[in-house]
Amino acid sequence: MTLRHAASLLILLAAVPLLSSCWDKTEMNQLALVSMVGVDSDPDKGTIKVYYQIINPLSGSSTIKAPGGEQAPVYTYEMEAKSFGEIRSQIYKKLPRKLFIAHYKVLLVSEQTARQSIRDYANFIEMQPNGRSSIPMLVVEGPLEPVMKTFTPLEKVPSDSIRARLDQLIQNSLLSERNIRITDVIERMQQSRSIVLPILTRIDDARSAKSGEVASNIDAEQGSFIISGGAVFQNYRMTGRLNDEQMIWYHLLAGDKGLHVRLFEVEGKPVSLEFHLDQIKRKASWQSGRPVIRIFMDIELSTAYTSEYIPKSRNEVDKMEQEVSQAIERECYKLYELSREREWDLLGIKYLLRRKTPDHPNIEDAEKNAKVSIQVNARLKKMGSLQKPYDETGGGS
Amino acid sequence: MISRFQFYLLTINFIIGTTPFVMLQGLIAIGKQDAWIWPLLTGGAGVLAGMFWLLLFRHYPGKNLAQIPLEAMGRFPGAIVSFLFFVYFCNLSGWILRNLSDFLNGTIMPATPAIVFHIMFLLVACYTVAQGAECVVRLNQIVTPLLFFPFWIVFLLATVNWNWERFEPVLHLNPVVLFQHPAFFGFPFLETISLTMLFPFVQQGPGRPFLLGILTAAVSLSILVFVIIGLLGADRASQLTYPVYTAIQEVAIGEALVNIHSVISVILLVLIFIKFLVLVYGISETLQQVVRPRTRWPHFLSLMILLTAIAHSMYENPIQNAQWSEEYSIYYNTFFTIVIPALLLVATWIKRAYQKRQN
Amino acid sequence: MVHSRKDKQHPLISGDLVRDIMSALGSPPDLFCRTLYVPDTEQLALQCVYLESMIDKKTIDDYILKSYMESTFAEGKSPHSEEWDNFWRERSFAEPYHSLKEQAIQALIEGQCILIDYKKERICFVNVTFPKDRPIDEPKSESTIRGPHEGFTENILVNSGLLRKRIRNPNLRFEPMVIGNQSKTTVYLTYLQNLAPDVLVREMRSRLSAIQTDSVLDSAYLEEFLQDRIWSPFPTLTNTERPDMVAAHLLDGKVAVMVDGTPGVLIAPITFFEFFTSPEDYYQRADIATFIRWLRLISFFTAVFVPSLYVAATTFHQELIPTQLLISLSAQREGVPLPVLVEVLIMEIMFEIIREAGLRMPRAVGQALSIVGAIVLGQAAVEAGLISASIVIVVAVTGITNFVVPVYSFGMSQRLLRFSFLIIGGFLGLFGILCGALLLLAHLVSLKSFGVPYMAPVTPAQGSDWKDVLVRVPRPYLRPRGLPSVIERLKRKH
Repeated sequence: MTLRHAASLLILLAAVPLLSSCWDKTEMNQLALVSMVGVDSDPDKGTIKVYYQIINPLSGSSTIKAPGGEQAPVYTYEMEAKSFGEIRSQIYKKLPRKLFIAHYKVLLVSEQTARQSIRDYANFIEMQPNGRSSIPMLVVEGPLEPVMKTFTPLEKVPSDSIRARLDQLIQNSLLSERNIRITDVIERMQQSRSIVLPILTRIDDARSAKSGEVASNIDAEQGSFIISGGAVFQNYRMTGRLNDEQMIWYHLLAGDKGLHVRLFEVEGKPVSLEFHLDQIKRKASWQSGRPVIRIFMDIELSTAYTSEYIPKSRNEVDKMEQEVSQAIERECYKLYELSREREWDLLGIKYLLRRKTPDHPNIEDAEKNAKVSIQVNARLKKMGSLQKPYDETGGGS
Repeated sequence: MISRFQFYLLTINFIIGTTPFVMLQGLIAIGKQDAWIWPLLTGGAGVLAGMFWLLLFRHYPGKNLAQIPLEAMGRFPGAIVSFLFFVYFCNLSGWILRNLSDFLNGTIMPATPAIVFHIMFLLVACYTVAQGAECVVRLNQIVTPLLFFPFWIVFLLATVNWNWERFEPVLHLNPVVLFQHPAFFGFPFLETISLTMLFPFVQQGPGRPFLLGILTAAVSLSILVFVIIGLLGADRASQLTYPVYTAIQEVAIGEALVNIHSVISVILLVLIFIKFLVLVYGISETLQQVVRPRTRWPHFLSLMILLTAIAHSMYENPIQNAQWSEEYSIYYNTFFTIVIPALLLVATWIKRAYQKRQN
Repeated sequence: MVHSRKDKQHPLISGDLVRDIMSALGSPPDLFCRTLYVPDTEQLALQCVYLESMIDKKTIDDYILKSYMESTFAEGKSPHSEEWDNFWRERSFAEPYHSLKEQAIQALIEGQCILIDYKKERICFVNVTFPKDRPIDEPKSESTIRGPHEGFTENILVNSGLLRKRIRNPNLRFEPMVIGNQSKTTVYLTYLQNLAPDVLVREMRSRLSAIQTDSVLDSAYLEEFLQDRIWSPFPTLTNTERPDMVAAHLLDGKVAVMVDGTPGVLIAPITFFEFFTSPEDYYQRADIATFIRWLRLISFFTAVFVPSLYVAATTFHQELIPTQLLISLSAQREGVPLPVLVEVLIMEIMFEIIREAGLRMPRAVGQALSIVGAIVLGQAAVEAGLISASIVIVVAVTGITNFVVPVYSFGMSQRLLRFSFLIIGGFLGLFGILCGALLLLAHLVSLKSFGVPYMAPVTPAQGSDWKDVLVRVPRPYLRPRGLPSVIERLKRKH
């Protein structure tokens, strides 16, 4: 008798899990896959506007064709609230699916918000258990809404387009670096350093409303945006801008080992040389209460992209190396002067002193009083397929 | 019978147990970029505590912790002392269950009620313990390579974000600061008294694998803290609730697999399980020594209910937990792991002296 | 009076014995009685009774009857030897009638022929059993590319002959037992005396003697009695139809149980990792064998875990899936009515149904039905929007990897495990799968097969045996002398 009772109780108990609701379960097509997040603020109303760009899964070519013509690859939802936390409860007034940010690729911030403060934004991103913080963040020049509602050619999902461009820039130039992620922002701001984030600018104002129109238009730039320049952030606030030229030298001084091709003047002649940083050494010491910073850079040159003039003898090579070294030093000093004038500390002098000589007082004013000397040693290592560029003399007339 | 190597592995896994989830953030907040040295120091203290326990056990070869009070102090007072150990183990187990459900609810499964996690772990642990001590130790042995390799390979993958500058300035912090925060001595090393319940099973004496295990665990923890500082930096790591989870979140294998944190955190749960398993074994063994039941399953059922209740009511919010760990846990741990064994040792000496005098 | 007793028995025997035998057996149609008379008289000389379905008629005709008629039977008492007793037993008419009758009936059933010799007043039981067996053929479920292609048959004598052929060692022991109250099946306990540990042989002997059952029709009947734990999905004895595999295990110091009437032979003790070995491993080169062994282990994990991992990843942990895949999976699920767990369960059950149907299908219909099963159920269901395409792939992969393991009974346990993990993964995601896996490991680790821990040599760790678990080390390095350490340990226990 007891066995039967026990058996029936066991069956009932075994059925109980079947009645439970699998609390964390979500079907894949109930998810809103966020690919880009943008933040703008309205200082008059005291609210923030968050834009979520959601991927539309039905717009792929290998999927079931949905009725109603062409599908947009992404949809942008806009939410306005008084704080970031409130968004979590308010978003579902507009969004029909569960927000899923684990796969987002880019974070955007409008310049207005950046100039006020991005601290709340950074905290918000870091607090999400499901979202990663190793996502690049960019600053948008002007209002954010047009950028969030722009289609891009070639890469259907705009965040893919931006990320792919950033990756290529990192590999092929010194205009962008890897450490532009929220994690880097947080780390540097906590250490009272500065960071430079890329700026996104619109190319022209004509905006097309249909992704199909963008896809079939031969002018890839119409209504699109470009990554150029950098925004300087200190203490979670945007305090200035750098143009492309300054970005190059900032990244070089920061120790970015990517390559870059630039036009130099050697003996009055223009020469496009590819250069990249081989090694950088920073030495800090104190002399009579003044910090002395010495930066040594070893740079490798290559004439792979030179079409104007290629040195033929050792003397010419030495001359070229000397002139290029001096040119780079000049530019780096210019950047340092700009940084000192605006108190940006782009060279990271305070950070360096704090690491090397932590117990010394007066580190805070160090940048103003510092004596900085930059020494560049450029060497030509590689050549391209042209030994000697073709010239106008015809070669033996 | 358990071999020495198996016991050694069990000691390591037990000590590492819940530490990656509970202690790291506090340690890095106080130790900053030198925090990786501290587990070595606390490990040294743990070895001293281990030697102290071994001194006690030398008087009782072949007996476990629950049997010693019964022998040293007689049946009735011994039963009370064993019962105290029972309470201690129950509290520790409940605490572990609560840590587990906090972690899972805070990271990968936010909507599941905590009791589900508790019951699942309890079911598996009770089944394993019912099979005997050998099952516990063999399970640990099988599971160790499955833990070890994914964990460290993932951290190796994460080293793209490594930055040596995060350690500078090196050895800058005053070591006296550590002694102002004695909580780090208590957790996790003083809790290894639970492993003494398995002492009788170890072939050729448990002393050496036990102490070696404590040392290896201390070194492993030190390496873990070192890696976390190198990956996240001391400032960030001290402000995150689960630095290990965040460090793993940032690992990306190529472009495709970018979010492997769920897999790795589930693998880390096995460490928590091993610690829980040893504690449940301790509880059931203590019960068996004191009460000597004929059938065991009613004990397991009531144990499940009791531990679920303890886990649920352990603390109301993590702030209470942090305050407890900071200020009071060292006294709590010391009472059960140093004071009571010292009492037992004194009782043993008195008894021996009395017997010698009689002879 | 001796004479009158003989006279009284004579008529009984001559008249009643055959009649009593017929009625005891229920007048079976295959019972024949050949009578030879003394020439030119009505006196009975010899009666030969046999069950034609069990004897070799040629021997009876050519040898027994002919030589009787030609009077070349040995006169007088025949030399007494054990072997002779198996072929020819004599009982005098002087023995009690009912005992003669019992022996006669038993002998008839065992396939012997009864000669009632009236001249010498004796009953002879002649062993002319002719087993009507199928020829020795390769077992269908255990074929190898290289290596012997012989398999056991249903006759236990033939099987023992196949073993003796391979182990020409006087230490090879066959201990006969009769198990089964109604079926009275012969069972041989086989082992090598000098290699097998005593404690193991004794344990097996005691377990076999303790079996109380009516019938033993297959070794599987015995397996259920002999196994260490009834409520476990994992077998603790293995079953094979290949004599070379049995010989290899016997040479490792293990014990085999052969059952008459079935080609399956049980081997004990067995460990978890031995289920992933097949005799083919030893007939191929070491590196290939290692690779294939890894493949089998991976197939085990695939067959058990893949459906549950798929369900867990797509319903609980979508962040694990790469973005592009997530988008296309998401698009596939548009319009599909059922949750992923239910879809996978339905497809798995359909697959099992197709598999079971395929076992019993006549060959002619088989082709058409496999087309129906594969194309219609898979493709059409996807296009109708009932299930999504990726699930078909998952189920197909799981189904195929299920068969990679060499031992069929182990494949069955995989199926059971798969369903349990599927359900728990569907309810609690990766955490559920973890708890299930830990429970499974705890179960495996506590299981013992005749005193040998099931998960040896991984735990408890025995270094010398590792040479044959995850890698197959070339023969010169593989245990040149001695037995696997698990068996050595058993020997030491004694």
